Amino acid sequence: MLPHEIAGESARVKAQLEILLGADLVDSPREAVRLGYEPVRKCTENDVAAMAGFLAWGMPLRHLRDALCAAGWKVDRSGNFETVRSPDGKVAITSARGDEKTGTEQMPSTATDKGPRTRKAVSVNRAQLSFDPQIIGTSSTVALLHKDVVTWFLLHHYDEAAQEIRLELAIPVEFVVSSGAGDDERVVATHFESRLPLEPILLETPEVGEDAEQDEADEEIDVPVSRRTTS
Amino acid sequence: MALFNYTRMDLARRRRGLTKAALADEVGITTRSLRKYERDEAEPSDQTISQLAKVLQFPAEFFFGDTLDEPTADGASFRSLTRLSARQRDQALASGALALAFSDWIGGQFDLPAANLPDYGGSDPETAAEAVREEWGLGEKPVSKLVHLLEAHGVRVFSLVEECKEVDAFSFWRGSIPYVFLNTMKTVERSRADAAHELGHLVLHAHGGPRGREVESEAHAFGAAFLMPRNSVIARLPHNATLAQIIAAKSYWRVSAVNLARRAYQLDLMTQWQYRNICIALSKRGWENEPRAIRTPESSQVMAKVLRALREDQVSPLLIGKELSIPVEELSKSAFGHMFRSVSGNAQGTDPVAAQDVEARRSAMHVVS
Repeated sequence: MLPHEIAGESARVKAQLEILLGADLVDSPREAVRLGYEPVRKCTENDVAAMAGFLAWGMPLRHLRDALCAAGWKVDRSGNFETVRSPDGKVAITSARGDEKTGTEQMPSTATDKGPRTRKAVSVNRAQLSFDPQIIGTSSTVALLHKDVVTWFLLHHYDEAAQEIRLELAIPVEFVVSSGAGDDERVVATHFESRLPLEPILLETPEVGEDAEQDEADEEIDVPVSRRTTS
Repeated sequence: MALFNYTRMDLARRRRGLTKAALADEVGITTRSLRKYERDEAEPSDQTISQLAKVLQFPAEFFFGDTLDEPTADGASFRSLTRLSARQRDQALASGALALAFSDWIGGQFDLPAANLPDYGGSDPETAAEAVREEWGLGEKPVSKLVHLLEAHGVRVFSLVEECKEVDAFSFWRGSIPYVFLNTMKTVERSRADAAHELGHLVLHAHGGPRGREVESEAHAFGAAFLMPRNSVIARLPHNATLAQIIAAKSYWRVSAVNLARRAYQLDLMTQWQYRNICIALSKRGWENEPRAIRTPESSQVMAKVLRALREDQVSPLLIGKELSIPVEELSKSAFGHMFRSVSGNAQGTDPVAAQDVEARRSAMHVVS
């Protein structure tokens, strides 16, 4: 992608986030993920197996709620489907771990199985978008027609090798059944519309020389070099 | 009157990576003529010498003079033996010969630290690395500037020219002086690992002998133990460290993530399965894309000080090159680029011999960076 295209993409994302969240809250999804991953990164092999995944799902949503609820959004956990809902009730946002394609030009999927409420939300989203693919800005009208809500996923993926978290806000519109049937059916969201990739969160300081630990390294070496004296 | 020295011309040819046939073709002579020069059955004409100089990008004066000392393929320990072509190896060795000439010139003008490398031939690499650390007073501390440390203990360290980028490093003893040639075009972490590896060769394999996988493996083990001392790693690295923990910890020892993971596996701090997974994750991002990479490359302190002192005496790199009849670019490439850095402001260079006389009247100085 060329620099001007990146700049253009960045402006587009910002403009759409302003419509979705309001100008004061455009940074809140990224900040929520950044804060949410702090406890995740403190997990060790001694934590119970599900801990890191649980925190990675729950903590970004908690921090997003912290930010958005101060602006009138509401915590919604109807049917055990955890979201934060806009003041007019027409937009909901939930947190989900995405696969390695999250925040890239490729189409991501959710990294974990989801339950029936996610399936329903995805189905409603698809119905909404079938009326208006440009859902942002007109979602209220469409939602009213359906008396339902558009559910956005705040997708995030921790790339351990790159030491970055890639993230995006996107509307899931397709899923595949990954296991079970009926009430026990589990799904994975596999296609997203209106994707708003956010700037990746870099987790490491790049300059080793600034590390406090370097103080422990050997002291500065002074190699003796002197002019030869000739007789 | 100085005579044309075929070996010097041949060295320049190998430095440029040319076959004899290619050189003859470019110069416009026959390979038979080249063979005659080689057997001392004929001398090239002035016009041919001038053409040789042009094609080989060496001053014509370079082809006259004593035969230069050249590291041999048998005597030098090369990394990446299997990947290296004969042409690449010869280019590296020819570059080494030019650096040796430069080193001798410096040695004639400056007192440098004498070699202080113990001989641990026959020892196991882990023990040898611990012993060298002990002898050098390093304890369990990480090594911050490895090239400076080597130089402080008498190793002459040169950088490999860019045409030798396939060569990781090589080292050899020349009399009582140990030499290391390092590839500085790779990651800093890798270059440091190479330097520690070569130190292993100098300490473990000072007496030559067969070169092959076994000695390479020993030098590798030495390098890892030298940069990442056992007790320090065991104390600082958690058991079953994740990739994130490896990446966070690696800057302490200033090593690559994969080398720290390998060391942890070697010290039974992680399982083979975990080590393998970390390698897979790192390889996905590419080996040259070192996470949390060191940005400042290692460099030669000796070279910086020597060139600074010469500059103060109005001896320019161009004059050094002229005295040695070696292009200054060649010298700079093996001097970690220091020569070009010191070229500016040296237009008023003087004869280095005269400068030496001036210097002789001064007391010996300790050049401080």
